[in-house]
Amino acid sequence: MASDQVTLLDLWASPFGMRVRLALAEKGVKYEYSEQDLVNKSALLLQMNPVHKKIPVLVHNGKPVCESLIIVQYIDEAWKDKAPLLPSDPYQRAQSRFWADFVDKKIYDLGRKIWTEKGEDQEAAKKGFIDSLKLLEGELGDKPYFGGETIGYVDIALVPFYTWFYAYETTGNFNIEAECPKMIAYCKRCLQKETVSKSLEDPKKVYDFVVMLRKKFGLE
Amino acid sequence: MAEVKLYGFWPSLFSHRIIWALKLKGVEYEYIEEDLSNKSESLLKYNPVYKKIPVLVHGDKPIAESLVILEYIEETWPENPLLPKDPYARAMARFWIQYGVNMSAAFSAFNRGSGEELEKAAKDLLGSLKILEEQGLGDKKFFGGESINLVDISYGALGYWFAALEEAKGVKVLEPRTLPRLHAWAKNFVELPVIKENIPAYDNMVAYAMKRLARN
Repeated sequence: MASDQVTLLDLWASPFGMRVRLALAEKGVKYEYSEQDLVNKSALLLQMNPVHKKIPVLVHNGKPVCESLIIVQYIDEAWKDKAPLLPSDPYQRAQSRFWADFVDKKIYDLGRKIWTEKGEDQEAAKKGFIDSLKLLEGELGDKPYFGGETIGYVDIALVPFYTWFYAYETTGNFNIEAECPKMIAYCKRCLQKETVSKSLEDPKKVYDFVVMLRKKFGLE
Repeated sequence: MAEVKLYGFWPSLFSHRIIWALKLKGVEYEYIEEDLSNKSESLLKYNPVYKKIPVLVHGDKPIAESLVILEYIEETWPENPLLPKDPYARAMARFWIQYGVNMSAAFSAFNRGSGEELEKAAKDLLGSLKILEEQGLGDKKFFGGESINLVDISYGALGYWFAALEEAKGVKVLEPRTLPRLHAWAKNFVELPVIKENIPAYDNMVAYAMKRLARN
């Protein structure tokens, strides 16, 4: 609707923020992007997400929605006349929710352990991460996207983490493509879509960000 | 109408959530009790990723993860709706359900801890439950308003399962003194016939909680 006011409170490197950017792009929704400082949180952020004080937050006509996958579902329901993100069949929807939840449970936490841990803990995280990607490859099968012929909910949940793969590989000293070539081929296929390429950040910039964080947390 | 089966485990709060939702929707189903120390071929076939209960099988199609199952039940049997229709209200309901998921580490710490650790875990839980009470429940009788919805179902364990754990640990967190509205909500919730008739006897819950603590 022309009168819709949509603002996204976000941090450029956040894969959770990228999920929301991608969902908005798929729906063709115009919005204002507001980069947040998570060290000195703005009054707006604290007002819009008083419970968690985190990004991303979508503010639609003054009303905030928090938690990235909840925001993506909201976007799908509020702008339901275009580009459905979830399938219409309840069983297919359940499968999409299951796999998006799997990404949430596995990819972020294990990825984070790769760049924050050392020694045995890091090795365990790397193994868990690769095993999880392999399970996702199995679920993808021969489809071009998890959503089938078009990008859907699981794709939106997963593909932003591709921007962090280079950081995981470099800090973890391993090669994701060697272990999961299908996954990398899938991610590159997604990036050929304009909605994806304009919503995702440059992996090299993300790596510089991770280097900065590691210095800051005394992990170097 | 395709057959509905639920693979569950009698003390599991995740299992109970599904039973309540099916009962509220008037769905006929077959319940299969799993022995988690000796998981059935069917369970491993239907939930190869996590190998856990609950699993709902509709026809021959399996769904795993209790919150995913609840949304599936809501969409497949729309009678007696358990989520609001309005997208923003739905997003808020899902937010509070997710808030409970984020508390699972604190509940685990409470379950496992003793001495100082237990005290800290109790304090953390109290803090989170206060936010839930003030901002999630507010002045409503139930999270769903006059009647329960998926948010109430997702927190239902507080009224019996967590109460049993508090008794087993000898530490109370959810009390009228500290959390008056949430405590009242929990009492009202477990008194509802559909819930009361579909939870294990309280003494069995306490005995089970104590057995698990002795094992750890």
